[in-house]
Formats: sequence, structure tokens, C-alpha cells
Amino acid sequence: MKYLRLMPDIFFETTNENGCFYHLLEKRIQYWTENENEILKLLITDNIPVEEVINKYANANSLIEKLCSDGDAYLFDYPVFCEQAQNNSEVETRGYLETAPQFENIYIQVTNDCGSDCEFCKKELTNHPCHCCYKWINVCENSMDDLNFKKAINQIKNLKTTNVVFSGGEPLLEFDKIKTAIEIFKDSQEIPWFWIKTPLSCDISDDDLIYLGDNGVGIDIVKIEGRSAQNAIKEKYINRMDEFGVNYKESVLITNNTTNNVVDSQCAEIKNVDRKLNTINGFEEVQNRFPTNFLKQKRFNECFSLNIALEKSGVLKPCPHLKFSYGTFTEENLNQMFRKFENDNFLRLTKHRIDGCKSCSLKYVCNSDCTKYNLEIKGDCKVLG
Amino acid sequence: MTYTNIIKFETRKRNTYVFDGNTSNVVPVDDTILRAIDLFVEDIDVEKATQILIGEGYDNDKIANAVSVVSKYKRLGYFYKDDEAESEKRKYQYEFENKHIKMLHDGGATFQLVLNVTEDCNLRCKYCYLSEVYDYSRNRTSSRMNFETAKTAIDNFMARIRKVCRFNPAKQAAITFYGGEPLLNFELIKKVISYVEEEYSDLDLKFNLTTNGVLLTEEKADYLVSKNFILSVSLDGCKINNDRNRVFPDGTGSFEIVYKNIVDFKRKYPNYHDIKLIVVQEYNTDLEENLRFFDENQNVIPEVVMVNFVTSTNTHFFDGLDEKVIKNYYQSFGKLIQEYIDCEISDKPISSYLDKLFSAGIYTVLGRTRVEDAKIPMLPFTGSCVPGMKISVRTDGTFDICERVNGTMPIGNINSGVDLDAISKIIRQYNKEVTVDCYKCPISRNCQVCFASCNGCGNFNRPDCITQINALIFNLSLLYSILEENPSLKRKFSLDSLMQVEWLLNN
Repeated sequence: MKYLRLMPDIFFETTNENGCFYHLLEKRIQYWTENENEILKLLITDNIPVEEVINKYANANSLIEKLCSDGDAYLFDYPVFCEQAQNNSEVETRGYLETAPQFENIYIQVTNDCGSDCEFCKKELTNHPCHCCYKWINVCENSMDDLNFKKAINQIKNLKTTNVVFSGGEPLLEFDKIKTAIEIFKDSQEIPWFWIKTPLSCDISDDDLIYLGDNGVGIDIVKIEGRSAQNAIKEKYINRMDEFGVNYKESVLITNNTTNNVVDSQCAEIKNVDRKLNTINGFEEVQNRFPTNFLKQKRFNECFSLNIALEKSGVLKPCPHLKFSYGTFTEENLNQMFRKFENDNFLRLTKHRIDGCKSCSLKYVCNSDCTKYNLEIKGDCKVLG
Repeated sequence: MTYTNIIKFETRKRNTYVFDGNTSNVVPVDDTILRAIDLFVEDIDVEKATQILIGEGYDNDKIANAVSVVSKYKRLGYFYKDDEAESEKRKYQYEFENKHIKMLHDGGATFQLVLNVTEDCNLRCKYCYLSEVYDYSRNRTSSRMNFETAKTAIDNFMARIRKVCRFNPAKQAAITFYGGEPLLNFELIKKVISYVEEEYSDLDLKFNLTTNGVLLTEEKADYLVSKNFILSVSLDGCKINNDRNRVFPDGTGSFEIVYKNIVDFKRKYPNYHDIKLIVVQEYNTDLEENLRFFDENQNVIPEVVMVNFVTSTNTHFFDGLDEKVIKNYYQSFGKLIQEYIDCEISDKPISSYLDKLFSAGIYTVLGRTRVEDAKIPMLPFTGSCVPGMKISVRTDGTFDICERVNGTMPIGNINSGVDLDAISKIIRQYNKEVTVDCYKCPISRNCQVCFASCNGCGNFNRPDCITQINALIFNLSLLYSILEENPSLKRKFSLDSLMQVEWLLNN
């Protein structure tokens, strides 16, 4: 009898439908067909001897030969053990040695008002792409007063994040609030990138553009496909941004003409940005991706645990599109909010616990995996488990 | 065939594996792969290696497979030769400044304040590291901490924790009461808890207490339970094992009193799981008798959380020990290993004593630092913490790295706070006196040596490296012996190790 063993640093992720190898040191992924997945499950997961599998599947022999000649596997005379995915320690440090959350984006809603009157925006939970100008879910009409807004920003400025994204409604209607927040964030240890996500439904003064240019604040302009009149107005502003040296990028929402629902979004190339960031609206091909930190991908969910969103009312959420909230800044401070959900919060929500992800073997490379539309989120994160 | 950075080990079924020092990963091997590794380490190319293997009569069916595997993994960074290992590992020898230490402290590494509320003890355990049997260690005195000292230490520590909580809201921290025997200064403990509850209710704090159990009366137990203390009680097993070393000043054993206290505690609080036992053993310990004791008493006393062997460095404790005693000990130990492996493989119930006797080693292997895990740049080798992430406060308010080090290397005091210059000096001294040759060692990232284990008189003594390597081989062999027969246990071990890490940090 011979037993096939994958050698170290190859992680076999398999589901009923599909399977793939994550070559952790080589930073690549190898996909398997349904048939190959079945064979590999028998050999690797179920520990069935090679001879039995070859008898059952005609192509098993060639698959085994390929794995052996590539140096990915070895045929042992006895069933030895080989750990998968060895390049990081599996022991997590929580509690005392809890590492600080590293957010990709902190979303700050400065207003819910908007000068545009888009049809899709009035619909509740339409199929809407992430991070556009869409009204935040379940937003309370109240707004924090200036003092509470400053208090809230003063607390979240200490969280480590790559981007701070101001959104609305039309965030430019509350430019002073944006400036207040930016000035507070500029006090933090590592100054993040600032973005304003706007449908450009109101004017921006020259002074404001100078401020944006001086402070490296980028404008993320949301265009809607097919609305040439509205988009032409936006072009006017875009020319001014070029003039004032303001960083900007364009996102295009593609809507279904019949239902007016947004069905897709694309992100244009970022322009004027001297240090290009990972696109916030990235829709790159999954094949080109490999998780830079595999273990992080295993332990976190990009959408839920790497973002945080502050509503205009002071409610803090994992994402603008979720009903679930950590709490409200007018009633609690940041520590109290997080401590309520110590072991069961969105910061710890792994992909293998989420219905939309757990049956997919590619879950650890996918980072456009917002599964909120597949889930019945009822304000309780436990329903996801 | 010996490689500096590759360690070979065997399992109970005589299957062979190698631990690769460059990646800290384990590769299952057979004779053909082993020989191929030997050749590739010498930079022999694929064609020539294949010819040599054929010439040496290795199985033709395996040669191509073995050569593919080894050449691929050599390309990926496995199986370096010594000189390559040296140049690779030397990259990690960073220079550093005080601000880098501060960045680590402020960046979230700070987590525990140990208050040594008294240097006095009501027992005179023969192996106590705070006694004359250890060179360089601090000894018992009648000194007790006063409230002012404790309060200032707490304020100093909490200011740091609050700073961390600003960007890491889920951060927890702990106050550990230690001694001597901390229950000798119970009034101070109560005062400290009241103060902390009043002033620092916004922080997520845990309270730990390590006690010999003699004074763990009902009244004290009620209080400690009401404050959710994590309690560690020392008991070395059955009466004969415990009373051999854990004795009162008059030489009488402490078993009866401690046993009664923990049985009473368990009877009154059967669902309180934050009380556990710490067992210390030495060559004279009758392991099988202890196993029987903990099995028979598993429903009436708390679970064992840790089994330690008496620290063997800088001590006179083992002087004059008969070789036969050591031999007997290892014979019993060997029997228990087989029993432990059999129980784990067949999912049989296992007593907490037998479990912790061996599983702690398994957890260290599972949690070992791997190739992509970051090591602290200024301390790239051994298992040292960053001094200052934990602060042990002496009764007079002096700060030490931890409660296990002697008094020759303080790192500040309650009045002036943490002394970064002192910490910097200690790290440099440690790197010079202890880790200077670690780049040659295959387990340099996973060795358990730390400041406390080689702390001399104002200097560091060279650690016993062979013992460290042997411990790793033993633990790897134990883990793989179990997993090759029951691979599904990997997940259980990984989950258990999380809990064990927490307890280790508490104590």
C-alpha cells in the first residue's frame, strides 16, 4: 500500500463542489476540477491508499504522477502525518496579547442628505455594490452635534486604518465636518489616506479644493452609467480637480434599466494619486491574487472585520450596509462597545462561518466577498455562525 | 549524517521526520528523501543526485519523486547548509534604540502587572526558587508591600493600558498577586481590588492569584470567587509526593491542610472553573502514584493546569541524587507516555494530570514560531519577552522583568516608571552573553530560554542548549506519534493550546 502525502506549505481547501491548493511559499493557487477534487479528497482528506483510488478513478494515476513530479507530494509506504499550511503558527493570541485591529477602511457618514435624486437610492436593500453613495442601512435621522462628533472622531482616530472614507448622502454638503475630522485624524500616529465618496451633487468652492489638494484628500466620484446629463456635470468638476491637483478616481455604477437597481460597479483607474493605493472598489481577477497573509485571511473576513463605519447619528457598525451595530457613541465609548462582543464580534468573523463563503474553496483569496445579500442579518451577529 | 539546522526525529511507529530549522516546519521523510536532502545540502544538482541515489541502490520508483520534492523545497528555503543559515539568520540581528522598546510597549505588548505583595511564606518548600537552594535568586524575607506602593504601581501600569486601549479596544490586562505567599497579605489584596474597581472600571481586567493553598479558607475563597479571581493552587499530588518537598518551617507536610481547603472550595463552588492546580515534580516523584491520586480525586479537587519539573539550573537541589532514582523516574515517565498516547489516539477519557504532564509540550510545538511569524527584531532568538510588557513589582516598589528573575537586573520603579535604558542594557547584554551563537542553532526561534532561565549575578549564564533541543525533539515525536494515528486530533490540540496559553500568561 502507498499513501500520498502533500508536502509542507501546501494547503488543500476542499468543499463538495470544488477544491484548490494554496501553495503558501510559492504564493500561488492551483485549481482542481470536480473530478480531481474528488480524487484528492480520497487521497488526502480520507487517507485512502493510492492503489484503491487508482482502481476507482481512471485519471487518478496521472494526477498522482503530476503531484509527485512537481515535488508537491510524496508516496509513502506508511501513513505519515504532514501538517498543512505550516508557514504561520496556528496559535492565536487573544485577550492579554490581543493585537490591535488593523482596518482597511473607516467609513464616516457626515450626512444623509443628498442633492441627487437617484431611483435606486430609494430602494431598501437592493442589489447594491459596496461603498458607493448609497444611503446607509437603517440610519437614524438624528445627527450627532459637533461636540459628540468630535468626541467620536477623537476615539476612532486611534484605530489603525489605511483609509478614512467620508460618505453620505452627499458628504460635500458637510465640508466643515469633513475638515474637522481630518484635522483630528492628522493628530494620530499614522495618518491614513482620506477619501470623499461623492455623487458630486453640489458645488465645491475653490478654497475647499485647495484644502483637498493641500491635504492629499482624494475624491471618489460616483458616476451612474447611462446618465449622460448628470455625468457631464461631473466632468466639469473633474476638470477643476485636475486644475487644483486634487486626487480623484471614478466609480461607475451600472444600473438595470428596468428596475433601476444597481447591478454592478466598476472602478476607473485612480488619477493624480502619487502613491497608488489598493483600489477600494477593486474588481481584479481572483486568479491574480494570493493572500499576502494566509493566516489573516483564514482568521478574518475582509468585509466584516477589516472595516468600521460611523453613522451620522453616532452608531458604530462593521459596515455601512449592515444593520448590526456595536453601539452608539452618544451612549458609550469605543472600549465599551467592543468589549460587549469580546468573543463573538465581527472582528472575529471568519469566512468558514459564513454561509456565503464556507462552501467555496477560494474563500481565502477572495477579497470582494461581501456576502451581506446572502445573509439574513437581523442585527445579531450570532445568526451568521 | 548531521546537519546543524535539521533535526531528525522518530515517532512511536518508527516513522521518520525532519524538523527544518530555517522554516520551523516538519517534513515527513523516508530513507530516500533523507539521502536526497543530504545530497542537496551539498549543492549537488538534480541529475547527479539522481545518479548517486541509483548507484547507492535506492528504490527506483522513489528516486525521481524524492529528488523532485527535495529540490523544490531547497529552492523554497528549506535545508540550508550551516554557512547559508548563518548569513540568513544574521539578517535578523537588528540594532535598536530605546524608542523601539517604547514602541513595543505602547503598541500593545504591555499586559500584566505582578504585585509581589509579600516576600514571606508560610511554607519552606525544598525546591523553592526563592530560597537558598538556588544561586542568584532572591530569597524569602519578612518584607510586605504597603498600599501606597501598590497604588502607585497600579496607576503607572493602568496609564499604559489605557493608552493601548485607545487603538486596541478589546485589549485585556491582568493584575497578578504573587509572593511569597500572597494570602499572607490578604488585606492589601482586598484594598487593591477595591481601588481598581473604583478607578479603573472602564478597563477589561483580570485578577490572578498564585497560592500554596494553606490559607485558602472559606472566607477568603468567598471573596476571591466574588471577584472572579483566576486561582492557581500548588499541590504536588498525593500526600507522599506533596509532603516530600512542600513542608512547613517545622518540616511537617502541607498536604492535609491544602487538600481540605481545595476540596471544601470545590464542594462549595463546583462550577467555578477558574481554580486550577499547579503540580511540581522532581526525580523522587512517584508519577504512577500521582496519576492514581488525580484520577481518584478528579471530581473533588480542581483540575491540573500545569505540571512543571523543578528548575535544574543554578541549584543545589539535585546534589547527591542517586542515579537509580533518576532511572526509576524515567521508567515511570516512559510508561505514562505510552498511556497518554494510547488514550489520545483512542479518544479515551484522560485525567487532567496525565494530560497536562505531556500536552504542554505539544502546545509549545504547535505554537512554535514559523517562517512567516514575526520575531521581535531586537530579540530574534530564544523565547524571551520584551522586558516591560510584564512588570513584576517588588515589595519596595522596584520593577523586575518578571517574578522569576532575581533582583540584580531591575527595570525601573514605581516613582520613575519603566527605565528604558536599563531594559536596553539588559537586552544587549542578553544578546551578547546568551544568544550570540544562536544563529547556528536549528531551534533558535523556538527555544524556551529566557531572561529568567539564565539570570546570574548581574549577568546571564549560558543556557543548557542540548536540553532545549532534546525537549523539542521529545515534543515533536510525541505530537507526531499521536497525529499519524489520529490526524483529527490536530484541531483539538490547536484549540486546547489557546486556553493553555492564557493560563501560562496568567501564571
